[in-house]
Amino acid sequence: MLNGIFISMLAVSLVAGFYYGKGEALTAALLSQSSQAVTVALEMTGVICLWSGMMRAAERSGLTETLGRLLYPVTRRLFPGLYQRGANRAIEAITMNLSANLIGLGNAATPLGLAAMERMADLTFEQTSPHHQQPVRCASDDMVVFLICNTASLQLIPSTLAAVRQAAGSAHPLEILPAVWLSSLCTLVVSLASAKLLSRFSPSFPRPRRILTPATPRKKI
Amino acid sequence: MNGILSWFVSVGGWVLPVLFCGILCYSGVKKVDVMSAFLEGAQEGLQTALKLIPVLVALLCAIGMLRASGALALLTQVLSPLADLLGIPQEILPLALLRPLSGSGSLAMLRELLEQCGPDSFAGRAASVLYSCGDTAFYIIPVYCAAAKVTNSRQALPAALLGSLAGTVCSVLSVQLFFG
Repeated sequence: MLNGIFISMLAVSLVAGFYYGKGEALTAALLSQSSQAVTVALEMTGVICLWSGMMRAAERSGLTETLGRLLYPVTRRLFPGLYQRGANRAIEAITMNLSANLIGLGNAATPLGLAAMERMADLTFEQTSPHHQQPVRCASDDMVVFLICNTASLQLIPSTLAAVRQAAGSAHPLEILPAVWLSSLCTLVVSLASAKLLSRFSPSFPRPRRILTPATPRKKI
Repeated sequence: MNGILSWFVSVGGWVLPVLFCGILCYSGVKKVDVMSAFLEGAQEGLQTALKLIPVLVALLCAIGMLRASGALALLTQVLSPLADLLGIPQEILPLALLRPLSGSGSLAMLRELLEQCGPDSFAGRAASVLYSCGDTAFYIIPVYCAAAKVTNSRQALPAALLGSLAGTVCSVLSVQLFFG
């Protein structure tokens, strides 16, 4: 899936570049974006370290557990698979990420999200040893729901938007808030529903459990 | 309204420092060795960050080329009859297409659009709502999946894009609803 998306993005841009005759622009984009990527990553490194450190301290002091209990009514419905397995560490990272998104920390929520994904991966693929690494690692249902929660980016106060509207001279920069909440909620609900519907067409394969506990051959009587 | 806005903005400025100091001080009160816990977590974060560099190079190059090639302009032309059908104004269609691809790009486009159409016009309001009702799916999904070494994101991206289509339609409708 990811591979296909990557390749089709490249193919589309090459074809469109030919059509519009934008060879030089493409070259410039490639060169500038590749160095830009390293800049972005290095800039993010500091924030990632900051948040990972904070999260470790919050875990040791029991803060993440408290937060998890507060958000339990929501997360229990969104990530039933994790609760079945008792994946507390993954759930704690998820609650931290979702609440950071909700209060509008934006980019600062990314490190928490990465940590949550790593922990869910440890859980989903836990039994595979590095020597028998699966060539295809499918996102679990919980991972898909988590990704969608992040792309829908439900937030209470869109502070960037308010700043941009104020700078553009809006009389009431925040009057669109109800519309923003309604539309974000609509985005979230529609993507969750379509993820549920589409999951039929993109089954999680291979399922770790099935592979790792092969059926014992029956003895012939 | 302006009072509320300035209150929100000032609170927004305090969130991060209050969280940082609050969490660490609370942990200290709870008899946690804050310094070593922080360093341990930060060490782990460093490894995550380093793993991200190759992903970001691949991803930002692909997105950058897509934007530079004019593919979005082509797509806008192709999709404009459909947008008419759904009641999406022509002005915000390019923004709707760019939003799932690039955060900084769509922010720049929003700024431009607000300046051209005015922040309190119909298109300006719809564009503002549209900007904040979804995030960059083409960036978040690959990066998060790379952190988990997931190679197949399954239905995540199609579902997110369907959601962003719904969000686009809903932002136009809700601006109509709230502002007539």
